Amino acid sequence: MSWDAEFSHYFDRCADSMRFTAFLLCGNHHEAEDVVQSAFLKFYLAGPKLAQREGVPAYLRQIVVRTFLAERRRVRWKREKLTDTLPDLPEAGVLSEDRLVVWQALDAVPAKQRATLVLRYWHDLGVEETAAALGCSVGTVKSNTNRGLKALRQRLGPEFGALWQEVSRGA
Amino acid sequence: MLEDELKKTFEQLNIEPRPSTFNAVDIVFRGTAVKRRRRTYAVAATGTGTAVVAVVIAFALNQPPKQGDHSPAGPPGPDVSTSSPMRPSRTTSPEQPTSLPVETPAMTTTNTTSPIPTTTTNSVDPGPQNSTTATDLPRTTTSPSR
Repeated sequence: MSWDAEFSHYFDRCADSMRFTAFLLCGNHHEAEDVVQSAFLKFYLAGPKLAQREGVPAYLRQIVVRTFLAERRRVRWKREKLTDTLPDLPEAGVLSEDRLVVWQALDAVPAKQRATLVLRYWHDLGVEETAAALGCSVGTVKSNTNRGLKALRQRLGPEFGALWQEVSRGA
Repeated sequence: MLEDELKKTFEQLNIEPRPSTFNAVDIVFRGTAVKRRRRTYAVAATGTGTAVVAVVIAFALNQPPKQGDHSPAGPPGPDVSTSSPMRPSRTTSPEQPTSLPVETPAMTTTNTTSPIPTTTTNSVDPGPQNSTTATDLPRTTTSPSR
């Protein structure tokens, strides 16, 4: 099996998952497409020797997260100007109103803390696995998780906490 | 808890995945182009580097010797000769047999001393006050006149 065919196999298997991970990280589909495309290009250029090891999806996820963080670090040198208005929002009906508020509040979380939140609460990774994916220590993962949630709470405000308690009590 | 709310938000967002704008063939095509470009850059950079190294070595080898070099001179070779003061020589050298004029045998006057005055210092033991200096002027010996 040639490397191109093998790569196509991995792409078909992991592309949707990686695209959604990138969407959660970036917050919009356009940037997510760019990140996933760059990540798969890096994976293709890395060659078959890296694909033969165990855990290709985990390896791809790591590439996606690190590509996203590198893009965010590079954003100050880019000519494109980012605005604080979101270019696209989830379609009406996809998210309820309170979750749309949570989704928009995620933009207040810094990139590395956001990546930590996505890996821990979407991919259900442990602290050690998250640390390995991000290339940092376990303590950094814990502090980034704590700070990310704190930033999210600050953005949502105290009213959201009371509202959420009411909703959960009613449910 | 906010963590649970976050999980549910992510799950709701995942319900309707959007169609992708690229596929594996696009990535393979781009990857091939990147590989080709990298190879071109590598070949060009290697050639440029080799040329630069060759130029640097050529400059280094063509440097003139330093003026402040005080290292002792080696023994002269067989072709190296020391220079002597200008002294006309009447004797013919074996290397130039035809360059000097051949003296005619009819001439009776011969110079036995060199035209340059020679100075000899005769020092006497008691002290420098008694030293005499004699200068031999060029003398010409001629045959007795008849």
